[in-house]
Amino acid sequence: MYRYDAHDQRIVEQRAAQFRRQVQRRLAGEITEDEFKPLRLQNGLYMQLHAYMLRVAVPYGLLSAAQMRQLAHIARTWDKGYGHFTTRQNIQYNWPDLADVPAILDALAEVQMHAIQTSGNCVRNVTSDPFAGVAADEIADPRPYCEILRQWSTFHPEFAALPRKFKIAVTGAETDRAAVAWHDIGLRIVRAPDGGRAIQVLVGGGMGRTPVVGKVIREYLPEAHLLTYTEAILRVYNRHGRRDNMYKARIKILVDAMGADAFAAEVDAEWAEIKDSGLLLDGDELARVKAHFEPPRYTPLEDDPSALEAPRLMDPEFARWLDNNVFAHRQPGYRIVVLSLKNGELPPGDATHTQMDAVADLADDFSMGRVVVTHRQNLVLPDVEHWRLHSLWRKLRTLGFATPNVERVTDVICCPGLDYCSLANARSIPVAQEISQRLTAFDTEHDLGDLHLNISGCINACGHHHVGHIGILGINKSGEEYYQVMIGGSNADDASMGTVLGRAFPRDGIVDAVETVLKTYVDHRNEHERFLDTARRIGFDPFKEALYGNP
Amino acid sequence: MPHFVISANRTADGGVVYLAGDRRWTPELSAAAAHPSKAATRDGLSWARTQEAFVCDPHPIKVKLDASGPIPVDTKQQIRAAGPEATLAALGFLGAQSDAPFIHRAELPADGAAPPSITAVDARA
Repeated sequence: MYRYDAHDQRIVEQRAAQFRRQVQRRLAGEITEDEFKPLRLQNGLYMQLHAYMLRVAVPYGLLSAAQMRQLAHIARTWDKGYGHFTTRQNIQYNWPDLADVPAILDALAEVQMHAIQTSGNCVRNVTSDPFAGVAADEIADPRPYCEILRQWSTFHPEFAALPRKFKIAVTGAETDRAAVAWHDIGLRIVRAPDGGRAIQVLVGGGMGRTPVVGKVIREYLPEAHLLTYTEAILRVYNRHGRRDNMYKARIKILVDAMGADAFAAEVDAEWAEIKDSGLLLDGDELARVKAHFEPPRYTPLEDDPSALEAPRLMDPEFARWLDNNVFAHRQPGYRIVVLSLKNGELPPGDATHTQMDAVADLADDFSMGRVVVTHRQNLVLPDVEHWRLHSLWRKLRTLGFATPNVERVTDVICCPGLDYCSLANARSIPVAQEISQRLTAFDTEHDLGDLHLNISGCINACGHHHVGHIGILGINKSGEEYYQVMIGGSNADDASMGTVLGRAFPRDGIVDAVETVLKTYVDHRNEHERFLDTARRIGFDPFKEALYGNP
Repeated sequence: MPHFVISANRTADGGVVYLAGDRRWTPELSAAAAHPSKAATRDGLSWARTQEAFVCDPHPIKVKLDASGPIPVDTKQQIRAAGPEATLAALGFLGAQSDAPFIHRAELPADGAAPPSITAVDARA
């Protein structure tokens, strides 16, 4: 993984020192909250319902074991003993005291981490495929491109005050696991017609109050132009994006207003001006960054699935875990293991300091010291020798991270909701927990298969409700929590937006409504047909009828 | 008949506080001064906005009054008053998370000793 050089290290240390002085001035009453707010937001510090919240960047989701231990140390020392892994592959702490935040930033800097640009109208943490570097279907490792983008965008003076926040996702695999069509810029590394590698560029995707699927504006961008072309897009957005209305300020609104072709033409004109600038990535710079992501030294192993047959037969729970939580690896004899942070007890994505420490130990013991945060709020051990899977599973069970539900109905994506968030209209965590408790047995009985259920507590869509196969949106009706149900969304290669089925349900009716939707699916599905395909085949009327009766 | 109380977040830790009748900030909603209308909160709000070193974003919230004192009308303010319960409740803490102890404020083990689990800390609290 990428190791900071002296410049990187100095930047994060100086930033922490600068923020320490800003905090001291705020606590001394020398600056007002209005003056302090933009300063704290630039360091990822929000004010939520009950306390401050610090959002820490996990670049493209990748953590070393040492970094995970430091995150545990921070939770234990300066918070209430846990952290929340987010849908943008970050981690949030919900209870820091203001006076402690500089010390937290110092601790992050010690392990080459920071909270810079995790808020504000700037380029946010670049996200990626959680299986990057190890996926069996990968064309190229996206992480060097992410890292180059991270370095380019950090403190970029021209893009420190964009019309609105800006999110970039990169994937290098044939299967999109990074939801690239739902980002301000989505980049897919593809095979070019000449057999080489190129980058497909999408712009104007996003969720929130105006969900839009991103549009391809360039099919084959030479990788040397990663930065020149991205800079051209940002310049066009910075020049023409609306600043008069924050709800119309994202690039998706601009692309829609201009039309994708006209937007692309404007980008091309800008690109022509800077195409041969110093941003052109020559071979040396690409090679320098790629060298940080060279594959580890794998032990030569034979891929022998029969090695696990005995424990699989003896233990059905282990068999379910193998089927749901273990994925193909590009290296023979290795597997990718997803640790489910959805056991129904803690809120989705939450982990205690003891669990984080234990995951760090498991990463060292089983996965060459690496952990990845996924946008589905789980963790990944990317490099596990297949013959050690049973041993790992036993340890994960003790930890509470072996629930065999990855990408199933109880693997709920869930924002913090009204339990924490000052923007939320309704709670999402208790709904997710009740769904988990109610529907685990239903899933076991009916084998619901691949089914994404996403919950957001407000229209800002941090819980990605638009792209859930089943999406739930919390709304406020006269001060009370209600929930809309939508179906048919997808964040994968078949990207689509969910459709609201009808009137919203009160808190005590939403889980029943989800169960009704699932029973309707079970009644109508063909053999091995997943929920999304059934919904697309039969349409929404059977679901509406089941929920609301005949009009 | 709705009443209004003035609420804010403490600058030091973001904790929720309410303005009492003696112009003292209190975390206890039951001790907050209730005003018969939003307009009646004007003086208190003006004063509260001079207390920026201590609190952020003072604002009126709608409440109803019962024997125990003011109760927020809106769900968001009810949760803000009670705190979330999700994570630490699952780990054995019985109150709202906002009342849960910080581990670093509890007794930390000697260097080299295993860190306390959350439940152990809560049991001491």
